[in-house]
Amino acid sequence: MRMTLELTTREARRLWADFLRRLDWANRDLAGPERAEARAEAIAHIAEDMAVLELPDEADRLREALTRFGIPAAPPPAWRKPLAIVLHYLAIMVMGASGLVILILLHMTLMEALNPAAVGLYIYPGDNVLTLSYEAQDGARELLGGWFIPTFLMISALGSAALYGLWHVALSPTGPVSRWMRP
Amino acid sequence: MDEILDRWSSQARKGYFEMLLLARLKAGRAYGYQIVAALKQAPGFENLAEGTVYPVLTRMKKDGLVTAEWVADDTGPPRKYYTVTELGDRTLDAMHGIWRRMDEVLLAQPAKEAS
Repeated sequence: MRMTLELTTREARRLWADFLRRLDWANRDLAGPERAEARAEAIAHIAEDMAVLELPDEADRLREALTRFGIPAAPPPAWRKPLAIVLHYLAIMVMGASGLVILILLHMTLMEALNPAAVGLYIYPGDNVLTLSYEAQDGARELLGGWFIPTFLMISALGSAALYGLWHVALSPTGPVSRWMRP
Repeated sequence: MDEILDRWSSQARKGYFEMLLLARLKAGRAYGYQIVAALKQAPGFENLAEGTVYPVLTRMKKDGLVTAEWVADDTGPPRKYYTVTELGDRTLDAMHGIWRRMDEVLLAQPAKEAS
């Protein structure tokens, strides 16, 4: 059913267009005919309410009727959708790569328990860079020692928590990025 | 205490909602605006966001509790009239039954304590 609200002032038409945009966004999960039906009912309701409101200005009557009806939340700005798509796929890559690193750290933690003499965090002679090794070479100075396992368990836990947070924001169906991606 | 009552009242309103709509429609078919006007007479519904009624009516229609039809109107836009079905009527009676039993239990509590 196609229905319209006849409005004469520019301000009223602006308010009405904004309301319909918000209403369609709020009903975006409905099928086309159901969305059209919801729109028609809203139009009929607002028209009834405007007819009984005793305000001289059309825009004021419409504003009051819309406030009583309830104004749905505004749809996100158009630029958010491409940004959301970039964030979504970037998050997948970051989670894949970071997840792999965390798995390696957990594996090293396990191997440290089985073979404490070999696995560890080392500094090699003539080199100031920290190096994780499964099998240290001669002359390497081990750092952390007995603290290796708790430290790496802590790092893995913090990394996992960060990945969960990233999933919640960027990949979860109820997260903001997923909401921005919807048409 | 106000906060507790507000929370309870909000939950209770959700429970009454369909019952109030069915009760209004049992009195005769009505269109959305009339239904909202009747609903706003009920305690706690004075500041109801009027648009929230329509999704509930749509759900009730899907459940077979009400039927709806658009009727042209000479004075304004068409109106969508809702009518309670037999299932809706029986559902309202069952809701009333639960309501009465709840009322009896609530009223019986002070009497039990006194005895």
